[in-house]
Amino acid sequence: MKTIKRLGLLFVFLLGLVLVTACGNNSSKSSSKSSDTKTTKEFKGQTMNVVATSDAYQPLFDKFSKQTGAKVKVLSMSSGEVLARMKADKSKPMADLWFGGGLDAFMQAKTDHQLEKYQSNSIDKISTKYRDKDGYWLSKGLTVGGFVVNKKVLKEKGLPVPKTWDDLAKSEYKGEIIMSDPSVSGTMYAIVKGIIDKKGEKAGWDYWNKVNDNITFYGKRGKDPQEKTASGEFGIGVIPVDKMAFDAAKKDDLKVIYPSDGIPWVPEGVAVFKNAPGKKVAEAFIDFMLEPRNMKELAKLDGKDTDQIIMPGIKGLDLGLNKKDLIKENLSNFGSDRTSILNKWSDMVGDK
Amino acid sequence: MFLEVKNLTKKYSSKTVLHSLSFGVDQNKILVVLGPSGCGKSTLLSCLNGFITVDEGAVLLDGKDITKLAPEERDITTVFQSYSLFPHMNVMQNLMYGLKFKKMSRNDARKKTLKMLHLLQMDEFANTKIQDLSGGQQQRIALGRSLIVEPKLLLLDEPFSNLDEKLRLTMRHELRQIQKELNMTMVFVTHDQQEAFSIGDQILVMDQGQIQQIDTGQGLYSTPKNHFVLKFIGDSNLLDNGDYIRPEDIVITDDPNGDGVIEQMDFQGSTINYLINYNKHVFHVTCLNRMEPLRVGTRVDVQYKVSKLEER
Amino acid sequence: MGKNHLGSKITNWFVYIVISLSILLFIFYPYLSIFVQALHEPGETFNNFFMQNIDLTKNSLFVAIITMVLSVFLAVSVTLCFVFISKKWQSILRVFLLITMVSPPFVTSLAYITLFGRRGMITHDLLQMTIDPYGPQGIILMQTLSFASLNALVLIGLLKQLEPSLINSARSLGARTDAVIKDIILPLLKPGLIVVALISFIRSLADFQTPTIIGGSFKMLASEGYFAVISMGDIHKAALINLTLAIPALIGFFLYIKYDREMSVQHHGLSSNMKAFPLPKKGFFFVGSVILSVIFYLALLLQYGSIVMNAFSVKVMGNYRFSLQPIIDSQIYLNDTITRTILYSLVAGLLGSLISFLIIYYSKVRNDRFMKFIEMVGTFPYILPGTFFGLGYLYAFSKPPLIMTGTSIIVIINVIFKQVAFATKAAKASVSQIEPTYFKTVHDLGGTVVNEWKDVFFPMTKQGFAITFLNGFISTMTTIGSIIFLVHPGQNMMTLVMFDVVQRGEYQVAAVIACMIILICLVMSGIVFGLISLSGKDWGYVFRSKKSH
Ligand SMILES: Nc1ncnc2c1ncn2[C@@H]1O[C@H](COP(=O)(O)OP(=O)(O)OP(=O)(O)O)[C@@H](O)[C@H]1O
Ligand SMILES: [Mg+2]
Repeated sequence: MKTIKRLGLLFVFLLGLVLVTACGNNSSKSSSKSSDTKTTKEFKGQTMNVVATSDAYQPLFDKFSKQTGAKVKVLSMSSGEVLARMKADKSKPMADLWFGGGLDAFMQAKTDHQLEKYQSNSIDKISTKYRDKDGYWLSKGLTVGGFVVNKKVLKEKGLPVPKTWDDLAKSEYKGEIIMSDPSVSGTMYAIVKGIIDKKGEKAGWDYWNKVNDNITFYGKRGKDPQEKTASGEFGIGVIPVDKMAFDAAKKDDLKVIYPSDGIPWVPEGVAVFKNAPGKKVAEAFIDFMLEPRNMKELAKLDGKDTDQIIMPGIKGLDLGLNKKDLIKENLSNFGSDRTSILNKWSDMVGDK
Repeated sequence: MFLEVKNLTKKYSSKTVLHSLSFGVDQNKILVVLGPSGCGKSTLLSCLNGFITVDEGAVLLDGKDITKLAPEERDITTVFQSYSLFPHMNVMQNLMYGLKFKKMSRNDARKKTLKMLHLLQMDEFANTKIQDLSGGQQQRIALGRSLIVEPKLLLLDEPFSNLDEKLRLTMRHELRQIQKELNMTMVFVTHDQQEAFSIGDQILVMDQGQIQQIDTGQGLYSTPKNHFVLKFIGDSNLLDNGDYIRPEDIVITDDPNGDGVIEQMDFQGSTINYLINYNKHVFHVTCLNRMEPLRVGTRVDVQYKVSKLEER
Repeated sequence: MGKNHLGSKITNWFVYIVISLSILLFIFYPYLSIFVQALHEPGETFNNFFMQNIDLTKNSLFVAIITMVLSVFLAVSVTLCFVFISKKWQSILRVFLLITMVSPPFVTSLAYITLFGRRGMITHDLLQMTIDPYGPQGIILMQTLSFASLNALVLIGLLKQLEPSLINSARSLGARTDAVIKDIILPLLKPGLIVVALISFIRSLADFQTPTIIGGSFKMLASEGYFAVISMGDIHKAALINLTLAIPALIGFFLYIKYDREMSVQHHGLSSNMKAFPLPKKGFFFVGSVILSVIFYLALLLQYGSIVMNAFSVKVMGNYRFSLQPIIDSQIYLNDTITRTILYSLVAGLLGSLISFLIIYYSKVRNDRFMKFIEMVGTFPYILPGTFFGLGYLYAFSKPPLIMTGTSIIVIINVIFKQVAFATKAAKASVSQIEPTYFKTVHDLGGTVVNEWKDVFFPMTKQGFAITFLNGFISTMTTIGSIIFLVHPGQNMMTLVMFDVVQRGEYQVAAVIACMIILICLVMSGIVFGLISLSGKDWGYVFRSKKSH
């Protein structure tokens, strides 16, 4: 009898565990209907689920939690993965809020009707250039591309430190450059696209063909160029330039370079998912984020000095970026051209 | 002496398990080592086959000092109580195993193995899996596997203890036959005195790591050297003065005026054991089953022969 | 009395049906869905894809086969070395091997690049060479190192069957150390060799992490399948790739079934007591295995040393300094993830083991045909790549009749049913030690099926159950592939966080998480083995009595 009682207890216990762990998720659904009043911003007991590109934004979310009482759960995920998951599972929104990630993914999601329209009262503070004209997404900052250099390696090889994108196409750097596969890294895609925009279709591809000749293989992760340059495997790594890059450069004795012949960039998107159970909370968060002091905090967390470009007047970090250096990019086909550019790219690089 | 053991001492940490043993075995003879559980029989064998190193003393085989040799270098094989047949090999492969290490062609080895199978009366089992053999058959293969390499000395550690009574008798018999046929010298460990009597040319009685007596079965029984041997070998009725009477040395006859009374009767088949009360002492008596068994309570006349312990 | 029997009959049927249905629903159905998706949905056909990407398949097979051979070879060396060392060292090294089952490939790879990379400390600084470490050679080396631990543990588990008297017998017949190893020990390991070879083969095929880190321009099926999802959102392509992977894996599976029967005890080497063997330390095998083992353990030490170092240091101008910063940094990544991971692992370990033992009760004790089929279905997640299982879930449970994606339940169910594959094996080994007559005795004395469970089945297998649970716990703590596509915010697991921070290059944080996972697994092992040795000492003898042939 003892054993069966124990077995029974075990079952009840396990069932309890399953229920407890499962309920965590459902709570947001059940309670979201109740409050509609946007002005009170009282979301006690509700949950906002977020997919973000990084866990680094936690302090901002914590602040939001404190202010509104809503619980925030974050899962870090690349924008490509978000798109893929939405494509595979159309039964449910991925989360409530999509925070960060290359704009191409947001554009794609808008086309696929996976985003919810939201126009914040303070949306005007953001330059029209950096938000969707229909109100499906807005950007929270820019990611800019540049490179990082391992001085020791270049010195050993007797090579000068490259200053411009054009330098990377010189044959003397053969075997010393690493960049990530643009299909994996949104920033790399932005760099490829940015330079094609700048140089024009033909000259742009000519340029990338030459760079391709210098590259042994493409990293399969966004972080590969940074790391492999740091370890001295390569002399030059093409990277997203942000505070992390400067920090890492300090750690590993590297040099971060803003190319003097133009800086490619990509806006980082923010959007609410279609039919999100926590839609109201997510919208409230966007309002919250657009408050100048929060924007400032975000800029700090992001480790970028680009947020002021998005919202004039906000002072982020000073990483030495000059706004004038940004390449003139065509955002309108940023998302729609992705597939064709990547296909052409993969034909060009072959098996690397 | 073919096998000579001199002052063999074995200690486990501080505990001495074998106390300076010395004895010998002649060629083509079987020495049985007999003793209670834990007295050091297996330890003694391990000293002979080399699986443990001895602390003091020497082992000489055929005039050669083998004390320091590794087991695989000694011309000695062992049949273990658990048989230890290789489960992944069939009968043939098990038997042939030891021949691999002799310089012998495969063909010769095969021939020799078949001969051994024949000797073991197991010709038809050549390709049988070990798991499919009965206990007695496994025992025979284990024996054959050790014999086939023609060791100078064969050691057996309670080889028949896993078999049933009947099979054990057969195996004893067969072992003796094979031993004669192959002219093998053996050391056989057991704690069963019947087995010791029927197999041993000589029997070494051991207790607590010490030799109590070495003699033929007959000698041990008729002239035990000390109390231990007396008590350990056969039954006996001890007298207050240290002398003893064997149960078969008491003759009882039905007599209403006799001094003895039957207290218990135990029918054994060919013999009958009685307990009798005689002179306020209880005696064990063994009689052949030649007459009607005497009932409990019957008065009997008692005749007996006293033996003296030859202890000094 | 009659009432009691009725109740027990109902319980019996209820359990039987629930178990059968749950396996069909949570293992069979997801696989079926993904197969259908790969073959029937519009898009590239399987044939077409296969022919055009034959190189991917070739690459994957090439790496998998070489990795298999090398990691098995290494594992054999490590196992043979075990035969020569004392009980104390056996225990120490076993714990070490256990730790290294939690093997995040990034550590190995990082250490490898630092030592043998183009600017590696050994190749470049010491030997003045510039060697390219990226490519199949890197993948093979990394996988070999990380698979060898598990392989060795399985093989070491087999040594339990080796009786010292068997070795003595062979030696008394004149066999020297080398001959004993060749004739006795290697044949004993043989069924295990085939099993671990297949495990390594399948693991290598399914490994999508290592190639992304060290593969360079070398492309393989698993990593391409992962990228198909991550970068292109192409589930169809991922399904096709996984289907391609499934073919060699399934071939392996049938070989595996064939040989697995011969291997009665298989506990991932988690079995308890060890013993020393009376074998002289000499000969070719001794020298060879010791040299290889020493190299292997040094490599592991380097690897895990670097994890610990990374977890407790920061780098300033290229130099490491002791710091607790990584631990502080890791906090924002973890929050409630630790508790959740432990909770999920507990649930998966317990329920997975319970389900598996009940399956084995029906398939083995009752000899139920249908349950044997269910048991076979249950082994699929063991054979097919984890991502395949995850994709199947994503695909099957995101549409009617059963929509579950986005819930925590689906993640829990996934990890529970992923356990069944291995747990049924362990359960089988454990159940095979109960004499069938015990069950008959229960009925003889008037007991019911429920009595069989509570009086014989579970009490007599509790040791096996505990070990099966531990296995499930550890493998859930370290699982990635099957849940990576399933978690939603608020459902993250520690390994996924670790994978994620590795992707973004936060190695220090990753190292902290790796240390935590290892620590949790070790503590749980300690608890389980503690419980076993407290309660289970008397059991050993009961079981052993059955050992006669
Ligand atoms: N490895 C060991 N370490 C310590 N003591 C040991 C060891 N092996 C045996 N002994 C002790 O040595 C003594 C003799 O053991 P041995 O196995 O030789 O007895 P045995 O006469 O063969 O007994 P049995 O008839 O039960 O087989 C025993 O008291 C035993 O406890
Ligand atoms: Mg013994």
